[in-house]
Amino acid sequence: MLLADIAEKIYPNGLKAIALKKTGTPVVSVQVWYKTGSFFEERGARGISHFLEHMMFRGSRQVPPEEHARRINDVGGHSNAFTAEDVTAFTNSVPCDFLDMVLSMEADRMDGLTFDPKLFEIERKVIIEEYHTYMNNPVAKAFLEFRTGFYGDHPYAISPLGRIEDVASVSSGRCREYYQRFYTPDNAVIVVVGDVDEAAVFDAAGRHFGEKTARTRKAEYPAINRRKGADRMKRKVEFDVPVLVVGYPAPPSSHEDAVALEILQLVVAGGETSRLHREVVRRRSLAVMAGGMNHLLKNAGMSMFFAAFTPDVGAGRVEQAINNELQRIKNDGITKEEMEKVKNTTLTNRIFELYSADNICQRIGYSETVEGDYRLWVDRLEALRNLDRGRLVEAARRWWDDADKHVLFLEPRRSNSMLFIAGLARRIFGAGRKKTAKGGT
Amino acid sequence: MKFNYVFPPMDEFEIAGGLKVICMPDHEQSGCVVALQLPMGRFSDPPGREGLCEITCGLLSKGSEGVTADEFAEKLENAGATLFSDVGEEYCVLGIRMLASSARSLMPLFVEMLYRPQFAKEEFARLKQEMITGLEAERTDTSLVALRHFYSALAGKEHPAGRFSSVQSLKAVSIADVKGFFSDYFSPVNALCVVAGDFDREPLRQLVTAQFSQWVHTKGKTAVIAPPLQRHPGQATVRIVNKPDVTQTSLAIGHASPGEKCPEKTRCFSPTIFSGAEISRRGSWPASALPAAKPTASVRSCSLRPISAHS
Repeated sequence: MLLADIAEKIYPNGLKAIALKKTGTPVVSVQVWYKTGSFFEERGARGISHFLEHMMFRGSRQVPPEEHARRINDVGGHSNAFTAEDVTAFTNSVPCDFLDMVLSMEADRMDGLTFDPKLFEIERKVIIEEYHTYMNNPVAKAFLEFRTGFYGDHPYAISPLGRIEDVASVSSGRCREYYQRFYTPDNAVIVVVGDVDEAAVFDAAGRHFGEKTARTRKAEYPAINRRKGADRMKRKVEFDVPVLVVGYPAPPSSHEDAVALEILQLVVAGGETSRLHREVVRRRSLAVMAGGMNHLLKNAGMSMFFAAFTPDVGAGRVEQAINNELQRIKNDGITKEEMEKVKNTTLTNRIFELYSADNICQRIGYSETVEGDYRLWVDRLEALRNLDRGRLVEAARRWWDDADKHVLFLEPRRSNSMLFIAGLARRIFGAGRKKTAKGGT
Repeated sequence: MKFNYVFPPMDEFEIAGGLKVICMPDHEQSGCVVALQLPMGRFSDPPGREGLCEITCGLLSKGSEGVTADEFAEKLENAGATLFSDVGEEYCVLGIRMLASSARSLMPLFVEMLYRPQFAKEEFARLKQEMITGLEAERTDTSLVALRHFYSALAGKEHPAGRFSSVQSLKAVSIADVKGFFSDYFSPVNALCVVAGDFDREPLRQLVTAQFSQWVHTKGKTAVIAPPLQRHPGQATVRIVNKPDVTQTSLAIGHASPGEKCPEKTRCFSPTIFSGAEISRRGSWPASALPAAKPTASVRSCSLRPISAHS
């Protein structure tokens, strides 16, 4: 299988199908990506994309409620769905003889949802519970608040789960309007990866989706009016472990600096040889764990680093330690060895991704719908190979700007003496001791 | 419906020390995975030392007599490789994922950590702290709290299924415990090694044999297979855990059920052999919407403040 073998077809109604033949196992992964998510939600309807994702399993013209998942399970497959800020995707994996069955059911629910009122109300309760489950986690809850510092009142500030009051009150009619507006062939991408010929994929997609009408009304994308400037947030939480998060605004996922920021993330926070782990966790014993992530969306992003520490360590020291590591990169860049490590890690991850049709589908779908072109997924490796270390320093300086730094400190509401003592003991007896290959410490 | 799939041929053999090996050449991509299954798990933890197996596995990559923890991490990550471990009830799996081209240089490193781990004091302290922090963090997850109490109520504290690691049990584990556990369980005698990767059959067999042939350890405990859970038809137990700081109630409802006892399955998939628990319904409701419980059988209630998820 070569990634150069990825084929695409655009139908007259605007639907795009992308196919890749992957032999080895007789399965096929079929995913339908709609280019809509919480980003497109209006006031009063925050959470409607996720609501609709649930309703997509609650019956369409030819497929009774819950039947989609049941039919797929019956042939040994599995199906699922997810809603994100920029996209909503439906995933199916089946033996390759059942490609046609899956496409037929996906086509049916693209424009034939029944919106049974009773099921709509049942699903509302399910979604409200999903929301509660999420908000039960004090860290997740505080993190949502943290996002508002980056995105203000823009929909990106809100989780795709939406606002509870909107989910509780949104009407079936409004949900149907949203569905008719965004669930259309010209707003969808079908990705098929598996042991099937591309001609068979395009033929089946044409048969099932070709007659559908393009009718997406283009949305006015809300602009992100965030104020530039540093921000600090401190929240008392029902959580025994103090956590510090440092974040910076980051570019959209398709930006030319996206690759550079991914590499920088790996150097600073990826694995046990990362700078944060080496320095903040192991050498100075300031944190129990430290990490980071880039959350790059279609139109904006965040670059974040975090540390969880014991109560005997002040948040100020942890923040300073994180700052020091970021500053070192801005001043001195990364080493040749670090660059080599990142390349090897990325290459290995890519190789293992390629074992799974589901993973390949996911990557192609994401790159096509969020980043704008599935080829970006393929081209990233080449971009990484050619990236020079000077570019990384430039990107670090451009995006990790202290004048635009956001800090979130989650302080436990109760002090946990056991954690305090354990942390102190570890720092006294375990920190900064030089290890030798033989003979212990 | 018919499947034309033929499972790739596997090469099964035993190495001198007693290690059983299954190799599967797979040329689809250029990766390689080595997974070693050992007959130890959560159930092997002595009472009061819950977490011992996990600590022992976690310390393996933190330095050996010949390689420091930093060197381990450096060599693995520079090659883009990843170590993984999965501690189950009766068995655990330790493994390494890497490019096939790195296998000749990294497999000796993997073997080194199995042969001669150092169990350094500071690494031991660091790992325990990390696990304690993880436990503290888990206490916010109501479904996990419910699940642990469910098993605890169903199996009782005398049964290993009813015991979980806690801050107290982790603190009670000593380095001597870890060394003893390692000596008892890390043996090729009851282990199974599965290797799949971009190799031809013969070179793969030679590579694995060369790497593991020095692993000799004549003793080796077998897995702790817990006795079946007692069933009490007609008798139900309700355990209520008061966790005042959450907005949601989680329920775990279930019963004892027969376990997996097929030896063939054990070899390949490491299922739970003891008679397990079937959770027929588990869900979450807002705390305010939970109707007043009207138990019809024995009721055990515990009000915890702060909650002890692992009692």
